[in-house]
Amino acid sequence: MKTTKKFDLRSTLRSSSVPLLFILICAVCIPISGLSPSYLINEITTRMGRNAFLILSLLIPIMAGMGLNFGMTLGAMAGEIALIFTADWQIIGIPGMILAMILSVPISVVLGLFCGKILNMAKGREMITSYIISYFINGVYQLVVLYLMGSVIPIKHSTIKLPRGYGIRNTVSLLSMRQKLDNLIPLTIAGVKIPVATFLVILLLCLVIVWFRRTKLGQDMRAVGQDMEVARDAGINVERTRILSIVISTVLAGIGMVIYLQNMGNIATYSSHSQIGMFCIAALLVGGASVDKASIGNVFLGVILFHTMFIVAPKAGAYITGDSMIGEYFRVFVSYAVITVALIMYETNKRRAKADQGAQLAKAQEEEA
Amino acid sequence: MEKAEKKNSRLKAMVQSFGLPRLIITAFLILLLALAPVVGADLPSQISNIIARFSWNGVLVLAMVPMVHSGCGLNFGLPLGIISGLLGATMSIQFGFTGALSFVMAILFATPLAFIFGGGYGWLLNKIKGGEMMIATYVGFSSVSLMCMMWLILPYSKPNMVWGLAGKGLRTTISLEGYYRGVLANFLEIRIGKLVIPTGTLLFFALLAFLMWAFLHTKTGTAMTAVGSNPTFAKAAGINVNKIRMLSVIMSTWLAAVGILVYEQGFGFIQLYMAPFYMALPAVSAILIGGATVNKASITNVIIGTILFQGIVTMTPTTMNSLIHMDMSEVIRIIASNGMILYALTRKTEGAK
Amino acid sequence: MKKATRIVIRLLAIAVIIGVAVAMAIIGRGHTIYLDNKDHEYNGTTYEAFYKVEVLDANMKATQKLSAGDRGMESVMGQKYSTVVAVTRKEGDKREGFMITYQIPYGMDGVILNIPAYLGAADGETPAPEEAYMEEFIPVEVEDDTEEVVLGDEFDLTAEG
Repeated sequence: MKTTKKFDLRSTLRSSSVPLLFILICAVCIPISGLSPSYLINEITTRMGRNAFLILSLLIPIMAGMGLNFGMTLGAMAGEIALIFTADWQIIGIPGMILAMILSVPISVVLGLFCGKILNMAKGREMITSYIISYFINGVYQLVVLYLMGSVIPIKHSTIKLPRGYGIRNTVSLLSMRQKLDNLIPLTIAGVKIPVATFLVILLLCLVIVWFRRTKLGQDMRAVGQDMEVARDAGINVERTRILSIVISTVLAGIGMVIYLQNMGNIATYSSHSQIGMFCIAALLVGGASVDKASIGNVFLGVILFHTMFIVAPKAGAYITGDSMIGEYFRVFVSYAVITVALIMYETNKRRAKADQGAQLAKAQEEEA
Repeated sequence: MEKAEKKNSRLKAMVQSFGLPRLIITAFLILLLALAPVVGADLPSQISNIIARFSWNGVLVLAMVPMVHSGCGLNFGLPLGIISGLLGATMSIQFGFTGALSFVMAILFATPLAFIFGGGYGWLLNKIKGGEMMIATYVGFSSVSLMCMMWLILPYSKPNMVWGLAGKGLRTTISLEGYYRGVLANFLEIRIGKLVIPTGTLLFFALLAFLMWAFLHTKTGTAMTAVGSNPTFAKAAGINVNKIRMLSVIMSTWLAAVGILVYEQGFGFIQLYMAPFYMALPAVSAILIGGATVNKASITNVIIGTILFQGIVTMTPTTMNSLIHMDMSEVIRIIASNGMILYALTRKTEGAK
Repeated sequence: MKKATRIVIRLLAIAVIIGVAVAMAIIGRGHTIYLDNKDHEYNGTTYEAFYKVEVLDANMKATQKLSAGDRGMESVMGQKYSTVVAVTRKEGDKREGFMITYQIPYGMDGVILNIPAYLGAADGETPAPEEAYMEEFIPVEVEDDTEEVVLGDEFDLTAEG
C-alpha cells in the first residue's frame, strides 16, 4: 500500500498553510498588542505546560483513523470529578495530584469504553458522534455533580458544597494544589519561569507515544486507520482496537486535565471542561495537523501559535477597534474557523483521493482490456 | 397462546418501528401530564404553554426537513439561517418599520440573505459530501462567532437597539414591543379560561408545513427525495444531484430565517450574539424525537417531535420541581435531547451512506 | 505468555496502583494547624499566654510572630507536625527554643494547638494529656450565602484557554 513520497510543493504548501497563516496573524498582532516579549514568552511557557498534555491525548485516535476526538471532554470531566473528591478529602500537593490522576483513570476508562462502543456503531461519522457524546455526557456529569454529589455521593466540606446541601459550587478551590507540579523544580531563565517538572511529565508522555507507535497495538491502530477492511482481513480485531484508542485518549485527557487544573488553581465546575475540547483541537490543527495525520511536533507548534494568537488578539482588537470585546470574539471566531477549514480540507482531500483511486482503477481496467 | 405470541410480536414490531427512546419520551411526557394535577400544577396553563412553545419552534424544526430529504443529513448549520433572520429583523427595525409591517419587512430583508448564505453553504456541502454534519456544525459556529463581531461593528444606530452609553454596537437582547411582538400569536387568538391558543402562529406554521408537503410532492420534491435515498440512481435518472442538494440547503436556510422570526414574535425579544449558537441542537433532537432518522423526515415527524420536545421542556420544571423539590429539568433536557441525537446517529441508515 | 500469568500480572499492577493511591491519600492529607498564643485553662490549671512566640522555619528564620492573644496558621501535609518555636515568656526575657511535635489525627481538617498549654503540659510532673492543649478546629458555617448554579449546554467562550 505504501507509495513513495515525492516532494510536492503544492501539497506541502497546502498542508502548512494554516501554520503559515497563523504566523502571519501573530506577526501582525504582536506589535499592535503592545505586550512585552518577556510577558509573552512567560505566558506561552505557562500555557505550554498547561495544555500540551491534553492536546497530546488527541494523537492516538487520529492514528486509529477516528478523527479529532471531541470526546476528550469526557476525560476532562473524569479528571474534574477526581479532583473534586481529592479536594473534599483534603489530599493536597503532589500526592493529591497523583491520587486525582489515579482516581480519574477508572472513570475515564468507563466513559472511554462507552464512547468507543458508540463510535463503533457510528462508523463514518465518528466526529459528529463524539461531539454529541460530549454533550450527552456533559448532561450526565451535571446530573452527578449537581444533584448526586452531597446527596448520594458523600461530600463533606461545605466549602465545595452548595448552600442548599447537595451539589458542587460553581468553583472549587485547588489552592493547596495550585502549581505544585509547576514549581516542584523551580527554574527561572532570564525572567521566564519554567515549569520543569510539568515539562518532564509531558516529555515522558511524548516518549510513551513514540514507543507506543512501535508496539503491536500501535501498529494495529495505524493499520485500522489506513483501511479498516484490510486490517480486518489481516486478522486485527478492528472494533477492539478502535475502542482501545478512544479509552487511551480519554484516560490521557483525564490526567491532562489534572495537570491543567493544578496550574489554574481552581475548577470551574460547570464550564472548565466544556471549551477544553475545542481549544485543544484548534491548537492541534493550527500546529499543522489534519484530521487524519498529526504528530508531536504539531502539538508544540500549535500551542505556541494558537496561544500567541489567543493572548494578543484581544489587545490588538481593542487597539484597532477600541472595543475589547471584538478581540475576544475574534479569537473565538478564529478557533472555530480553523477547525472548519481543517474539516473542509480533510473532506475534500478524501474525495480527491477517492477520485484518483477511481481514475487509476479505470485506467488499469482499460489496460487490461 | 398463539394469539398472545402473535400479539406480542406485533407489539415488538410496533415498538421497533416507533423506536424505544421515542416510546420512553412519550411515556415520560404522558406521566408528567398525568402527574401535573396531582402536584397542583395548573394543567390548562401548562398546555397553553406547550402550544405556545410549539408555535414558536415549529418552523425551526420544519427547516430540518429539506436537507434530510436531499441526503445532507441533519442541519446542524441551522445558526446560519438564523443569522439571516436576525439580520433581517435588525434591518427592518433600523429602517424604521413598526408593527406588523416590521415582521413582513424582516422576512423580506432576510430572504435574499438566506439565499446568498444558503447558496454558499450549499456549494460548500456539495464539495464535502459524506461529511456534512460535522462541517455544518462548525459552519454554524464560525458564522455565529463572526457575527458576534459584526453586531458590534455594523453601523446600526436605532437607539432602542444599540448600547445606550456607546451609541453603537447592538444589545444582546432587543425588545420587540411596538414592533412585531405577537403579530401572529394575537391574530385570531382563542382564550378559553386559562387555555390560550395562538391561532395565527399555528396557521402560519400550518401554511409553511402545507407548502413543504406540497413541494415534496412536486416533481422537484420527489427528485429531492430520490437524491437523498439513492444518489447514484438519481444521477442515472438524469437528476442534477448538486443542484437539488443546493436547493434543499437554501430552503432549509430560508426556513430557519423565517423560523427565528416566528420564534421572536412569540418570545418578544431578539437575542443576538451567542444566542443562535445552540439553537440547532433542540431543533435536531425535536425532529428525531418525532420519528425522523438521519435521512428520512416527514411533516408528521416535525409536528409530533416538536410537541413532545416542547412538552418535556415545559412540563419537567413544574412537575419535577414540585414532585422532588429539585429542579432537574435542564439536566433532563440535555440528556434526553442529546441522547436522542446519539440514538439517531448510531442507527444503521439505508442508502449509500 | 499464559493467560493465567497475564491475569496475575494485571491484578498485581492494579494492586500496586491502589497501593500508591492509598499511600498518596495518607501522605498527602492536608491539615491546617492553628497555633494559639492565648490564655488557656485545663483541669483547673491556667496556662498564661507568652509575651511573644516566633514560629521558625528550617533556617531558624521567624515565619510568624505571635503576641499574646494571637493565633497563627500553618498548612501541613501528612500527619506528623513538628516545628520549632522561639518563646519570649515575659517582655525583656531571653528567647527560649522549643520543639513542638504533634501527631495529627487523620480525620481532622484543622487542629488548634495552644502553645503555652503544650509547653506547660510537658513541664508538669505528670504530663497532661493531649486534650490539655489540643482542640479540633470547627469552621463557622456561613449561612447567608446563596450560590446558584445556572446550567446550560453553552460554552463559556470568554474563558481562559
